[in-house]
Amino acid sequence: MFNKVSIKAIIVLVVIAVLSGVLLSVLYGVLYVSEEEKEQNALKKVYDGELTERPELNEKFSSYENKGKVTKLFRFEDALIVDAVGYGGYGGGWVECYVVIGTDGAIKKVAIVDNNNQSFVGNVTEAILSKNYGEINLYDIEMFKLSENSGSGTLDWSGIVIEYSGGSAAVGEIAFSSGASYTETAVMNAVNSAVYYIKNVYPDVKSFEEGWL
Amino acid sequence: MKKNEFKNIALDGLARQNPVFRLILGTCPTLALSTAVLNGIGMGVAVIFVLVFSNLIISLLRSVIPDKVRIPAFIMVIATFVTIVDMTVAKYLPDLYSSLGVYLPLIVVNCIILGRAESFASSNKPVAAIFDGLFMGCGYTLALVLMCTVREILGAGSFLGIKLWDFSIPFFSKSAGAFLTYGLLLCAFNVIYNAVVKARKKKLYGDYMKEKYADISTEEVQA
Repeated sequence: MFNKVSIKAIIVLVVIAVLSGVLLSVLYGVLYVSEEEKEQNALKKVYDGELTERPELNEKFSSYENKGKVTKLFRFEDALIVDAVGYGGYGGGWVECYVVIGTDGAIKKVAIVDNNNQSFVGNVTEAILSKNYGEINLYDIEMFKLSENSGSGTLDWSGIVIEYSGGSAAVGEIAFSSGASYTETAVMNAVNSAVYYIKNVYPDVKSFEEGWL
Repeated sequence: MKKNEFKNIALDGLARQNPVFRLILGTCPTLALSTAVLNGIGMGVAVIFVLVFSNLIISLLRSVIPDKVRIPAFIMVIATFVTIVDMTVAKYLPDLYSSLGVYLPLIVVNCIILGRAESFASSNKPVAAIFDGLFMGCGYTLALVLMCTVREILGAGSFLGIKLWDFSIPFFSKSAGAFLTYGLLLCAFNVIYNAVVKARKKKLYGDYMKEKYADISTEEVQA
């Protein structure tokens, strides 16, 4: 059944597999990246500061309707990072964001860290996120919502053709302008999950500030 | 290894058998990753590492591996080095790791690496195999960086992540732009290559004829 050539072939393949396995096992011990290390790297990209605590999540307020949820909290010296996932993305997908909130309740930054099935996530740039959410105090708004002037298009107004892009929006109103409206919806849901959580756990600015002491 | 052999290996890798512009291999990562120069350099260095070490090991084992199982054996060796690169990049360059994404582990099935293992490393000595891997990898990296440069400057108005100007043509950052850029660079490379080869042949032929008929005068030739 097995001639010399076949036996030699099997032996060679097994030896190569075993030696490769041994080499990779040794290197795995040296090059292994823990989940904590991955998290630290992701946090460093979003906010440059010293992580002081990973507060425990209040599960009662971690879920925001069926639109999103808060999964983790990271406390820094002068900011709180809320790890939130927003649903309603393109193709039923989701977007995971880090929402950086200052001690006074103002959103310092929103960064997309992961997504599922969002082909145009690259269109939602840092500039767009900063324009939509940057420096808005979450205690000055109820929740973020879609502006009536969202999107872009052409208005034909009595023969006068006007092309518009984005459109103006009041504070707390988001005008989608990236061309990836589903992804922007998911981002808005993620930020709203963070807003919902913070405002329920710390009902006002004072209690939020006191939470830092 | 003789100087001539070294020169031939170098020229093959960089120009004569350039994997991207002459052999049309490794097209998938070339088109997908060439949006930024840094990604191109990262991918190129990874491919050089895998090519050099897999060529070396395959060359050392060329008389041991039976012909009938050479492909599975080559794949196992290549996969080992790709895994090492994958783990190293994940640990020390996490930004590059997320940029390269699935294309880093896909180096295992990159035709350049298996092709060179099969056509060169398995029938040549280790030193020659190392240099073949090195220069093929360099040829691939240069081609990739060229693609990335064009697409990043035109598509994003930046180079190596540094913003140059506000003007950009987003088309070049998309897939269609990748194909167009690849096609145009392919055409340009081969036009220049053929012109250089033709000029060289003309020069060599001219020198040969001058030498052969050195003793005969022009009038005698014309007569």
